[in-house]
Amino acid sequence: MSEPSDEDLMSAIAEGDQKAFNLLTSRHLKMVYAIALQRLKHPSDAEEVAQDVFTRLWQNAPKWEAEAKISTWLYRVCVNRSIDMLRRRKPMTDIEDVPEIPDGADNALQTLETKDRKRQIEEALGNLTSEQRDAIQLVYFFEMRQQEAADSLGLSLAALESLLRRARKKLHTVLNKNYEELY
Amino acid sequence: MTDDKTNTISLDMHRFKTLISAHGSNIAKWPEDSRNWALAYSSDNKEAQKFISFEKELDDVLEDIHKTTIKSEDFSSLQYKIVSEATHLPQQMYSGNQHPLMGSSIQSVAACFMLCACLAAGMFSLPYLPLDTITSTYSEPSFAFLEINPLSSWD
Repeated sequence: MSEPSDEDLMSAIAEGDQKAFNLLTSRHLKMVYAIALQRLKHPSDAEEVAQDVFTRLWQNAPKWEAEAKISTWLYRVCVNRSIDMLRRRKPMTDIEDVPEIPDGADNALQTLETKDRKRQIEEALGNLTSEQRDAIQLVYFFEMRQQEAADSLGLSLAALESLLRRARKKLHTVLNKNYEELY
Repeated sequence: MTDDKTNTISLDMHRFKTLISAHGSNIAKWPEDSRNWALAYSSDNKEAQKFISFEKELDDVLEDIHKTTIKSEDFSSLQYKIVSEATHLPQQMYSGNQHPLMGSSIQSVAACFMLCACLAAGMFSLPYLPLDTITSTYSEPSFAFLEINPLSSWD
């Protein structure tokens, strides 16, 4: 038996089906959490946003109109809620900005090199625009189809490709100096 | 003939480079309409494979970052919290023949119409107000009022 589609689950949720809500939440929770975490940097804030997004989905399910994709709706609500939270948030010291102290056990040269590359890419990811980071998350990590990701970001397919290309180019310049040479 | 072949090769390579620079090394994640072509093209093309290994280096690091930040997390407790708390809340209902945005649009238009009507009524009724009610605090009628009220019957 094939898995029910998101639209099937929404119809069931509109009837108050808690199992369908549980399944839909398990399908999209990681994506919503990741998008929120990327903007807010604090796991507890990202959890709060994720909870709010899915609560809205539950409450508004009877009003759902099957014109938009669920993932597109979730993405947009998540981004808006994250922006609201950023506006509300008081300035505070970001504990995650404190540099990580190297683990004494992991002192092999290769491990350090890998860690260093990873750290550099993490930094480079932080320097991308939020739209570029979201495109990477949706397409590479959550394997959203290109058209769906483009719809979520409110872009054309060609604009999404261009966005991804520019993002990858920026990241490559951290890893490899010969990007321009190769391309 | 040779020129045609060279052009075809360079166009294919151009297409391959355009796609891989946006979608990364995993052809399975490329847009569906390009996957079969890209697999066939790259299978025996050394230059294409060079691009794949170049892009794979970045994809591996990105995947590693994703694994450590998101994949390793246990979402079951958060999922349980969300589902158990949300499902205690009532769902918002609306009648099926009414578009959710339509109600608010009608209300806005009606409010605008009423506001315009009030303003118009105020403007048109001003000349007919008894002058002594407006100038009651003064012993003399207001000269300014006379100037802005050409329809007044006061003389």
